[in-house]
Amino acid sequence: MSMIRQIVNIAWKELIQIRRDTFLILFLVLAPTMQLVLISRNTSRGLSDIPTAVLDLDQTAMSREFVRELDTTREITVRYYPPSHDDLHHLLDSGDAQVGIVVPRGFSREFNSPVDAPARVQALVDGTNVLIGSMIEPVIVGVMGLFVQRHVQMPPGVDIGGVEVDASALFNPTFNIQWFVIPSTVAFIVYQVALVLAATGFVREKEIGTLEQLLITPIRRLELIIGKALAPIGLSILNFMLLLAVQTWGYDIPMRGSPALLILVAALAIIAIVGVGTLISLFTQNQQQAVLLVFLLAILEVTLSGYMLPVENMPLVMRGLAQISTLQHFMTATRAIILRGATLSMILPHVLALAGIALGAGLIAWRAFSRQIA
Amino acid sequence: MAAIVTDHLHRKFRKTVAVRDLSFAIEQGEVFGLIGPDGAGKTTTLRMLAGVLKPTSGRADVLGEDVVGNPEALRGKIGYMPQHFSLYGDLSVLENLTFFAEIYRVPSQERKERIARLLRFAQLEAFADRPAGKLSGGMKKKLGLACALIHSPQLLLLDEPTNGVDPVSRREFWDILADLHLQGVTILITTPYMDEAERCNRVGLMFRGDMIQQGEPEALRRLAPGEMLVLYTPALAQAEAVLPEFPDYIEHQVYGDRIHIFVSDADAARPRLQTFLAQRHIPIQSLYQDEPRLEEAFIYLIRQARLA
Repeated sequence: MSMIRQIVNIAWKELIQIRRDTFLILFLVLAPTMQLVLISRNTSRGLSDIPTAVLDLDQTAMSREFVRELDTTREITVRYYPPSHDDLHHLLDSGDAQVGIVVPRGFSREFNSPVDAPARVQALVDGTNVLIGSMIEPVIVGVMGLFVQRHVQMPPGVDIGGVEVDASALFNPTFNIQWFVIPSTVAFIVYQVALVLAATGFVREKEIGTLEQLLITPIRRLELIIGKALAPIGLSILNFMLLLAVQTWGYDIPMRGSPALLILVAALAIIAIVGVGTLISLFTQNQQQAVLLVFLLAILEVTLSGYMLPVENMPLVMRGLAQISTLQHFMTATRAIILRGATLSMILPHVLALAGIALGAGLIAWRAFSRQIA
Repeated sequence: MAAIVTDHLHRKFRKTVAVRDLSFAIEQGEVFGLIGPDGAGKTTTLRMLAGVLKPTSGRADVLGEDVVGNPEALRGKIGYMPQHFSLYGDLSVLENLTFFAEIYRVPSQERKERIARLLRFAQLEAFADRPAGKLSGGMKKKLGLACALIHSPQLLLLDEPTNGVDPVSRREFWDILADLHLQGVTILITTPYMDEAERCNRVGLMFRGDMIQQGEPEALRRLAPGEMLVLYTPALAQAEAVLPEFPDYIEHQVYGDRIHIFVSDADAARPRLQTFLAQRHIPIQSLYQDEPRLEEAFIYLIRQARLA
């Protein structure tokens, strides 16, 4: 009983201190929300309105229609009609146009009689921008396809050839990238905030000297560790729920699994993260060291998390490391619940790993703390 | 009964010996002052006695508990004020006191009355709602003391509690300590101020991790060599240069515009010194005998220790 009281005493003090820290509150509420809004805005757009220059050497009704068709796509905006190849290259060199399209002489003739030679257009792309390069080709091919459908009368049942790709995306039928990015970002934001909160906890008391004061009181080390961890854990769970609400109602990301399971798994992940943060806090001498360590760890864990590269595609060593990355388990498990409606048994390995990390970190913190003083 | 007994207490930090085979005892109810130059090992000694630092070897019994073998037993029994201000700057005076009252498990029915008494005691009643970080230096120290006293400990360990505090606040702080002394609280205090050391029952002089002298302030003062003459002269530097040639000379210490000269017999030396200085054209504003203070004894003893 007295243990619980002591834990509550410490946690209450932490809460008062956090409430007084205006900067910390901004960091807790404003920064994550802004990060979420910014990231999701940018990923939703994809590429659009790329300034494009078109050199139409065919100058037929059909070539002009083709150019108009290109212009109506979201990605391409035809802004320049250079009179010659040289002018086209000049526009590309200066960066005014990022894509150049050449419609060759004889385009409409070849189009109407594709047997002799297929109709061709040439696209020139600034290769230093890999994103544009990889996106523009499917756009042009798409426009060509539309064009073919509209102008070539096919006898029914005759295939004009080529390969037909029929990819049906499971769980995310429209391949909406936001469905992947936003839940991952939510996990990452919660991870960051929880880690920083926990990592600065003990080291701040070390810096101002209150830790020594606390150590001569009757309080036990385990009470101190748990008491100091409670505030970051509680706040991070609230933070997660807030961002989850934004994600579900603000961005219409489906919620296919059990919300209760999701929050329990998130809470477990947060406990593990706070455990790791507490270790950082105990092994550093000042807040600067602690924040630098958090920074390094965050970079490492983002790399391992599968956010940038699927874990299955990583080299063996990194795949192994990913198994002890709290962020990786946190992201993978929450995404599975949110998007695929996964049940506990489906994400059990992640849950067990998170529990293991939480327990291990807590145990090391307790042992290390006992040895550090006295 | 002794409140503190140490036996060959020893602490090394890597290769530096901070406290060397320290053996001393403090009786219950005593006010014991630890003095010594910076780096003498005072803070290390206090931290070991408080149980927050493990000795490399040796033994220390504090309030009958073995600090080395069982540091947990001491938790909550002593009051300890570390050297640096160590309360929560973002909590108010009252919140700090309440927090420590809770942590020390002060019974809730006593808590209110005790906090009120300590606020009065530390003259902080008017500042109860002010954040501790916004208090003046002297008030911070008094709040620190109040927090260290919240559980009515029988032993107080105070590490330079008045360092950097103005003379008025220092006096007030010592008035509080005097009250505690009357209530029978044992106090171990480190201080850089000799006037404070003179207010202790006993003083221990530490140097290079060792306690080189201990005793009542009066007894330590008598360890100054011989008798003391005070010389005021505008030609301080010349006087200092020739003094060692004076036949009765033992030692001298410069204090601003005056020199304290130690001789074996002040009455006999005074006229001879007058002639000695006149012969060397050193003007004398005044020359008289005075009682050596603890400070003179302290400087003399440290000099001797450095030579040894």
